[in-house]
Amino acid sequence: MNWRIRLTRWDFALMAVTAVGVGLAVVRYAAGIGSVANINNAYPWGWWVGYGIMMMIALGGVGFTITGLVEVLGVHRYHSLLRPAVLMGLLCYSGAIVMLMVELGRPWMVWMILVSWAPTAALYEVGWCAFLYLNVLLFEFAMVPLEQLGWGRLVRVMRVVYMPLMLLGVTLSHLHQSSLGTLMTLIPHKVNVLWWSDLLPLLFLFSAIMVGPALAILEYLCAARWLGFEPRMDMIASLARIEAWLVGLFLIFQLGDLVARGAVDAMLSGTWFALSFWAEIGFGLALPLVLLMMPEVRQSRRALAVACGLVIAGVLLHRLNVTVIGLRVRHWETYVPSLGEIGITIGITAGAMFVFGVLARILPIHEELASTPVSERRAAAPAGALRGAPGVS
Amino acid sequence: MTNHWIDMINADVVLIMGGNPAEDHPIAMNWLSRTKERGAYILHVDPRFNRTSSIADVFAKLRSGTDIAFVGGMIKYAIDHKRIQEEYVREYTNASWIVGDGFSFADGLFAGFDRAKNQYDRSRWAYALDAQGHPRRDPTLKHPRCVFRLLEQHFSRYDADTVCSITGTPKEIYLRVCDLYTSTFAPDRAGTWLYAMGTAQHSHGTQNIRSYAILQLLLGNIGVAGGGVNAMRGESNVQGSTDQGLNWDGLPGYLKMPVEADIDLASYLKRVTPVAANAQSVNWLQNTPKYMVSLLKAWWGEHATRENDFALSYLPKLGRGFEGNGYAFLALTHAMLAGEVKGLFCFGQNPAVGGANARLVRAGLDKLEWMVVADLFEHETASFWKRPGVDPAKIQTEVFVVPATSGVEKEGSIVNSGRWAQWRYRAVKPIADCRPDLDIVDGLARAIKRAYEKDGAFPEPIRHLTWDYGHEPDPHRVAREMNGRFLADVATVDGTRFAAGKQVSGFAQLRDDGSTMSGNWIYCGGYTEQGNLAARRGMTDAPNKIGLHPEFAWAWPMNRRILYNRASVNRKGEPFNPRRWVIRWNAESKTWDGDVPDGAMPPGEMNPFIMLASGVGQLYSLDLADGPFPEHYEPVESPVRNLLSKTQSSPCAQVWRSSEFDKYGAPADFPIIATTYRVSEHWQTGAMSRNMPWLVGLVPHPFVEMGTALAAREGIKTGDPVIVSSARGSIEVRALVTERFQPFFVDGRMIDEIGLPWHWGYAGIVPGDIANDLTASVGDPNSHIPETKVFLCNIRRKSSA
Amino acid sequence: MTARSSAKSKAMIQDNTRCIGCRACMVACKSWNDRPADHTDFFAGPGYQNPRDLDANNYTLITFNEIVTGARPDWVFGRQLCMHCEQPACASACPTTALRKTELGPVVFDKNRCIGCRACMQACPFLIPKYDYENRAPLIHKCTFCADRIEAGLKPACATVCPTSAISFGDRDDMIAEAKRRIATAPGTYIPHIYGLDEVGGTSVLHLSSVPFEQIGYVTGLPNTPMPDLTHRWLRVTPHFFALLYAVFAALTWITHRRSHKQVDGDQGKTA
Repeated sequence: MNWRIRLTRWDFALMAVTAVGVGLAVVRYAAGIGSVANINNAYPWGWWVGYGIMMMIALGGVGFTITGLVEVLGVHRYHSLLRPAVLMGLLCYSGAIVMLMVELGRPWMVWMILVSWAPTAALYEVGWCAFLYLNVLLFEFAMVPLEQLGWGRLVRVMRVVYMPLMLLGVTLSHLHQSSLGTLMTLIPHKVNVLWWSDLLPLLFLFSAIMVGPALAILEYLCAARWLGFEPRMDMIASLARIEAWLVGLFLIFQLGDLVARGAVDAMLSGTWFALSFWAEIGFGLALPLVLLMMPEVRQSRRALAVACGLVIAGVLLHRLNVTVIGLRVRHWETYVPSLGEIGITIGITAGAMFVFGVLARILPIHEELASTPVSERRAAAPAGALRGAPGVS
Repeated sequence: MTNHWIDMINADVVLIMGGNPAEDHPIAMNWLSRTKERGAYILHVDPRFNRTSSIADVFAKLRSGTDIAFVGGMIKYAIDHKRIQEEYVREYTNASWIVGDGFSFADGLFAGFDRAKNQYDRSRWAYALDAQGHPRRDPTLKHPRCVFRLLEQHFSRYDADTVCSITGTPKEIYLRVCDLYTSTFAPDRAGTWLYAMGTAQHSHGTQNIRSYAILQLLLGNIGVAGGGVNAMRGESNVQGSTDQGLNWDGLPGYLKMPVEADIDLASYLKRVTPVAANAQSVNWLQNTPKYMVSLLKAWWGEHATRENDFALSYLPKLGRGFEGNGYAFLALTHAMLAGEVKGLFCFGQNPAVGGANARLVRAGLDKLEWMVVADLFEHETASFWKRPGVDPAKIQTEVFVVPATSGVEKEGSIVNSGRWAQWRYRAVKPIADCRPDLDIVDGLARAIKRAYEKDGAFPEPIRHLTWDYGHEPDPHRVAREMNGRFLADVATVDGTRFAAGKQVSGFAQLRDDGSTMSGNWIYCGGYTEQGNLAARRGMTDAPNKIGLHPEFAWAWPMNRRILYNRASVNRKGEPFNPRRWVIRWNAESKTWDGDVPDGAMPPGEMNPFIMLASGVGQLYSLDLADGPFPEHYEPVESPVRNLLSKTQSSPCAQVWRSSEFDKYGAPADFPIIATTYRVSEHWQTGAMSRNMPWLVGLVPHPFVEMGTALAAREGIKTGDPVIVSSARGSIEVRALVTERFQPFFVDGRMIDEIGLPWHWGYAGIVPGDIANDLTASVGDPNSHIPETKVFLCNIRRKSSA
Repeated sequence: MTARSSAKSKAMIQDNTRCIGCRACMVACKSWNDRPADHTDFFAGPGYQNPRDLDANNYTLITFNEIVTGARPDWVFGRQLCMHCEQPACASACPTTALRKTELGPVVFDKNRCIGCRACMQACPFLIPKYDYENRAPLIHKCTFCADRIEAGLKPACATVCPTSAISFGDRDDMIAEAKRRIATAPGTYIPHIYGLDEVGGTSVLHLSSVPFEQIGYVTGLPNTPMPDLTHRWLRVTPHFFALLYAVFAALTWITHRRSHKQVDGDQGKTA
């Protein structure tokens, strides 16, 4: 482990933003949710749920999508994306847990989920699955630092149970990613026709799968830029092609679902709902699809980053549309996220990014950074979850 | 009420005249709810569509102060359409009596009006008498001077078009009300008439009620189940207070106060004891001497003897009052303002907010030397000396605030509008040193008696006053005294003996020779040797199943639940409506079944209205100061001319002009009609309810309800602060713009009316401006009640500058 | 979870044709549930309505609705309160079973189990549960159907004080029969619809009205299927889904790893 890293001004910036978020959280605990947030009785779920839970968990899906791609489907050419994906997954889920601790009214009671039996509640399923999956991610990722610390024997033991746990993680992810959608199927009369669907669980699952590679690509390009290595564009470009397919299929799925439910009129109405819908479809799906279909985009670092960024933004907007923007509850009550709400989520995001940046410099997260050749067994051996690099068993 | 609350379930049509029971008597709405379920029609006549209107079948809007026009038109409708219960009217009213030649009516004035004194010489209205001195009669009702023909002639001017032009009621709705209500003339249909302050608080309030009585008599609705003229009393125990003679001109049991001219008992009794108009009149009040002597014996015991006229001289005599205007509220407050009143006991009342022309009232309080307030909270009257805009250093009144207890913190009885006396128990102990009124008055009385033992001017009435309610004053002793008892062993004509000390079982046992005493003759029979009948809670109904519930509580008089019920049967004792009978003659037992009969004599010639000297219902009456018939006049402050006659407003109305606060507005400056009313959530002056946070949360601030057209013209939206002003002052309230208060089309133009709930003052959790600052010192000539229900105002949006 | 109502289940009729908007029910409810007073400025809704909506301090609310038909104004009152659904969406959505439907009918809230996720607030089709966001330890607030009073054989506080019998209380079957009887005997008075009889699978509070319910502030357009059915059809396949996916992924992993192993073995001749 390379402890001797230098914190840059970006590190300090992220720490400052995180500190602001912590400060706001302290106010939230001292004076109640209402002191920092605008959520109200008509809109009990707002930005915190839309971004902090729904989106962060969707982004955390990068863990299971890349793991599924590499380990389950055996497409090993993307193995270098595996550790970053797992770490990002871990940080996203951790971030979602932190968000939950702020968002819940009585977070000190959250353990009550674990001792309850509520199989009819989608949140119950989400809670349990996310809890278990977090542990799987922790397990998967822990092998990296443990190995660096010289705990080789423990790591070898962990590798034995790695496979079934990895499978568990991928399966659990499918369950709770879709259950986030199930959560919203309960309120067809509150959610605008443009977003409510009986297939919401599948839409949410699909969008989580869709956003995984996009996040992985974006992270790879950013890491290449910030950590200073040459990105392997051919690998990334081929993943971008897969991504293009995912986006295209999702677009067809979503539009097809809308048409089947008779929502065409709503799509063409002149309301704010329609506007948000077209922003989501246009900037979040159609535009990146077009971009990703173009080889020159796939080969261009900047263009590719933009395209992936758009996909991520699109998924965020989709989640917000389903859980917040698309809700019509009381005509005299509105909801707009407060600066406090946004500040806390930005703080959590910044904190996650800070931790990622530090860990990426301390631990061999990115294979491309391995400078000195080391024995085949060690440095280049991706920890536990990440075996199967070409030429290494 | 002539009837009672539960009796509403027997009505086929209910007409609520300017009352708002949904907001002001919500418990009573239970019975109206049930009567609706049985298929009865609820008609609501009011200036504004309020919560009562929401459950009515017909809402007829009425411009404030035009009740007599409305009802007069109904009288004409009933007569024209022959919707008269003929046998009833012929037999049981004075329809057939012939009026003397002295009576006439022209240009809005009856004969005998003295312009200088604003008074009528009522002898001009006398009946034409026969040789025995009894009024002559024409049972065929054809004589042109018989009451019925004069009635018909008087109200012939009240055709529907004229009426609707005065009241602003849409004609088709008006005719529907007339049609529905007069359908109760049929013997098997009954209509009940409900009213409250919307009727009474006018310069012709008493005549308003007269008009209802006339209509109900024509329809045969008095004395029957589901009928009656029914006042919804405004305070939980105002019925009790008037029963106990708390009005300035009355003694307990509605006996009359002696006046200066009553130099001895004989002349007093001669003046106040009615003489029967003819041989068919029972004239129950001929027994007045028995009740008066028994009252005097209750108060002065062994010191009231035949020799000293039973201590009649111990009672104060009424003079002509303050400035010759009596001693009613308006006179009293003017006297206070003029510095003529040294001290005031103010028990459970808040005149600084509730009194008409409230700024005058508060200015009058400033002049008192001392005041004793007994109440639950330090309300506006108790804190008048530190009210906003006043320098306490300049006010010399010494104020004593005695903390009182609420109804649930003391034992005693109250009487509801239906005359049911209900005994109540203490549910919680009073906090701190709060005392029941009985304890407070008892303490005061004993202290005063002690002071008068030593000296005092004319000390005998105080020294000799019997006052023994126990060391801890016991309401049962008061109740027992009210019922009365024998003071000596008494034997009656038929040999029944009563021992001294035993409670009397009814006022028929009271005597005028000093052998009985009774603190209130109408309560005789309420606390007998059987015990405290007001405490009974028997749920069984009487065999006639009309909701009498004779074993629940105790009604005066003699537990009679429907007054004048002899008018519900014909001369043979058979009910006019056998399906819903109140009493009926049982030929075998030779008694009456059902309710306590109002007059136990067997069926026959004797007339049913036994409390009236005439014995019959008064279509034409000599008893009121302002006319034998009701006549529509405009309120004293009105924006329109009287369309019926040249006499603009009631000629006998008491219109005060003696103080700087007695100003009146012209329609040019104050073109909008204003009225005052209440909301469910607050109670009277808010002394209690504005100290109750839950209620304040529901209705926090004073507001004015106004129509959408008026609001649009003035640029006012709901919630805007507005200034409402009259000639007497101005207040700031919030506007509530609503479709429910629409303008009236009167005399060819649209007149706006607005309404103000009057519950706010400067004390309490939430203060607010006082609506009564705008009302005027105008009094009804009979009851002296102020005309707080209608006056002129103006309204404008408060500029934000 | 959601117990289907038993034969002992109680229900309430809210008959808006009898309601005079006096709000005794609101005050009795605050009294029984010890709720603090509201600090209001003026009226928060149409007419005298206060507050605008249910909240943490007001478990029931009378709505004031001025409806003008032609030239005739009308004032119709509606009441908002928890409907105590037969199959409550709130109880089904609660991850800690803090909300549950009891045998006698009330949907009760156990504050000792609540984590404050507010899924119940999102789930409720009638928008009933409210939150006290200003509290450091906030709780869900809603009508309790006076479950404690019902268990003691009393009526709910609101039913006890209503002066016009606009609120009736009794066994659910009796209340349904009574509501039907009222509509049948006075068809001109009532809209022929019992709100809460079929909506979302039936509720324990049945409303009657003289005007269409959407005109007096009621949530309308709700399906007759119980809301929990919507999530139930997805959640009940969770174990099957889990087993299937796990098996499929395991199979895929085995297939793809065998292939790569063969490749590696082939390349290097021996395994790691």
